[in-house]
Order: sequence, then structure tokens, then C-alpha cells
Amino acid sequence: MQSLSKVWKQWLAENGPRLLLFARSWGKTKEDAEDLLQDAVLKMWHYQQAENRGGGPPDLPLVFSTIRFGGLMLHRSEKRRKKREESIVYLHDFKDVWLDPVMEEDEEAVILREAVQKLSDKLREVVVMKTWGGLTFAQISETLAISPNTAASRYRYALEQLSKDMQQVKEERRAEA
Amino acid sequence: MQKPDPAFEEMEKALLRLMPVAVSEDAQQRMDTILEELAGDSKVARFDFRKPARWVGGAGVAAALGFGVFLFLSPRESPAKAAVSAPVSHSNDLPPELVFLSETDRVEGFSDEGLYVDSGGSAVRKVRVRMVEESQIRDEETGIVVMLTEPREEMYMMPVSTF
Repeated sequence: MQSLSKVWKQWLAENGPRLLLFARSWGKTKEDAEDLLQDAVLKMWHYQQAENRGGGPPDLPLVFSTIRFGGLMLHRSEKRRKKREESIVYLHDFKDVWLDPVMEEDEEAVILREAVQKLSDKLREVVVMKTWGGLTFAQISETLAISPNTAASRYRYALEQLSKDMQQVKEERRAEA
Repeated sequence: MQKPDPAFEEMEKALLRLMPVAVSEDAQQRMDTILEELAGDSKVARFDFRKPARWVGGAGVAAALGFGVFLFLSPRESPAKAAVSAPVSHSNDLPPELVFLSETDRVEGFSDEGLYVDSGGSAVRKVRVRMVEESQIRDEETGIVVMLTEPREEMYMMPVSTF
């Protein structure tokens, strides 16, 4: 039988990237997001060790919720910190991307990536959970404490917006050419 | 409700041409280490290698403590990380890929629990001792040296002949 840590490590290797992508909505940098993920994994470990939970890896919706909760807490302390340090200028790392195209030199995918990053937090979290997290609308609604209908309509609205953005960028490029 | 609008199918396909960026090697390693530590099943820690010679070492520590007890009669609680340390012999019942490097028993602290009359009617002083056993083991396959720390509490009954 596989050891518990091996099972968890396999689970993390499989799900780490999608959970990290979700955490990116809350962390300013990839490192922040990785800290959020690590914190969630640690919390989940302790949660799963309770007598009737078997100790194995948790269900994904629960991890998404935990990351979101950690993200909210981080966001609150960030806001407080920002107020204290208003004079600091934050440098943006433009190479710090959330998604990579599956195929190299897929220009359309690169445009879409930018459009996804530009989505509002509310819309993006639904798209991330549905598309890369593989969650159903019922699971998303549980994670975000919203109705399944709201989850579905946010998803549809996000896709509409992405579609419009893509169309606009394509037209701009055509005009430039 | 679960089935997305067919009008968006193209967009969904396009989204799947993107994949989440991998967790950095550093973070992955950090989390793997945490999981191993939490599971307590690192290669060395899983083996049960209780030592038959444990009590030989224990007797050595007890002897050292005997002297210590005479010295500390007045304070009720010892300072943390007090002081007696005694090397303990080790057994060879480890799996072949693991090499025993060293082992020590350290007295982390002790406290006087007061006088007590045992079943034979003799007066004894109860002394609670907090010990920490540290073993260093090298995994020959990976070259990793692991330090095992095993805290425990022991109760010593020291015969009292003078009051």
C-alpha cells in the first residue's frame, strides 16, 4: 500500500497547477499564490486526519474554498499594509503569467490568456474552477456560496466577455496589418 | 444547467488551449517535504528499531541523575535544557541500506515530584525526567543523513536514606 505522503504528493502533482491558477486571483505574485496553496494544503492535511475522513487527499471544491478563504484573509491584510506603505511603488513582472499556451506560438491563445487575466475576480474564479478545475456548477456554487444559477450565469457572462475581447483584439490587429 | 451553451463551445475549446502554469520546483519541493514530515513516513522514521541495549544507556543516565538529584534538592523545577548527557550504545537491527551514525540521550529537564513510600515501606524520591533521544542515521542509497528526535518522560524512584 502506498504511504500517505506519496498519495498526497501524487495528488498535489496532479492538481497543484489548477489550484495555483485559482490562487493567482488572490496573490500579487506567483510566490504569494504558492504560499496560499501551501497554506491550504497544510490546512487540508490536518482537516483530513480527523477520524472519519480517512487521511487521504481532499475533494477539490473544498481546497478551492480553503484557498479562497486564505486569499480573502491575505487580501484584507494586504489592504491594511497598502494603507501604511502608500509610497512604495510595486514593480510588475510582465513575464509572470498565469496560463501557458498548450501549443507553442499559438498567438490566439496568448491573446486569450491576457483576456482571462483581465476578467473581474468574480468572473475569473468561475471560469478557472469550471475550465481548469473541472468543477460542476453545483460544486462551484458550494465553493463560492452562491446559487448554481448565479455560477452558471457568471460563467456565461465571462465567456461572452472573453469572446468580445478576442474579437476586438483580432479586429485591431487586422486594421494594423 | 451543467451543459454549456453551444454558442460558447468554441470559446471553451479555445480556453483549453491554455494550461495552468506549473508550481515552481522550489514550492513543490517545500510542500513535498511538509507532507513527508506530516505523514511522519520519511524513509528512516518508518522503521521500528527499538534497541535492546536501551536500558544499558538508561542505567547510565540514571546513575548520572542520581548524582544530580542530590544536588538539586532545593529547586522544584529544573531549568529547561539542563544538562546531563550520556552516550547510548546502539543495536544493529536496522535495514541494510541504513547506517547508524550516532545516538545520544539528553536530559531536557527534570522535576522533583516529592517523597513517596513504596510498597515495601521504603522512602523514595520521585523524579520526573524529560529525556530527548537523538539518533543520526545515514541512508546509503541517497546519502541523506537524518536526525531522529524522540522525546519521552521517565519516572525515577531514588531511594532516600537520610532526611
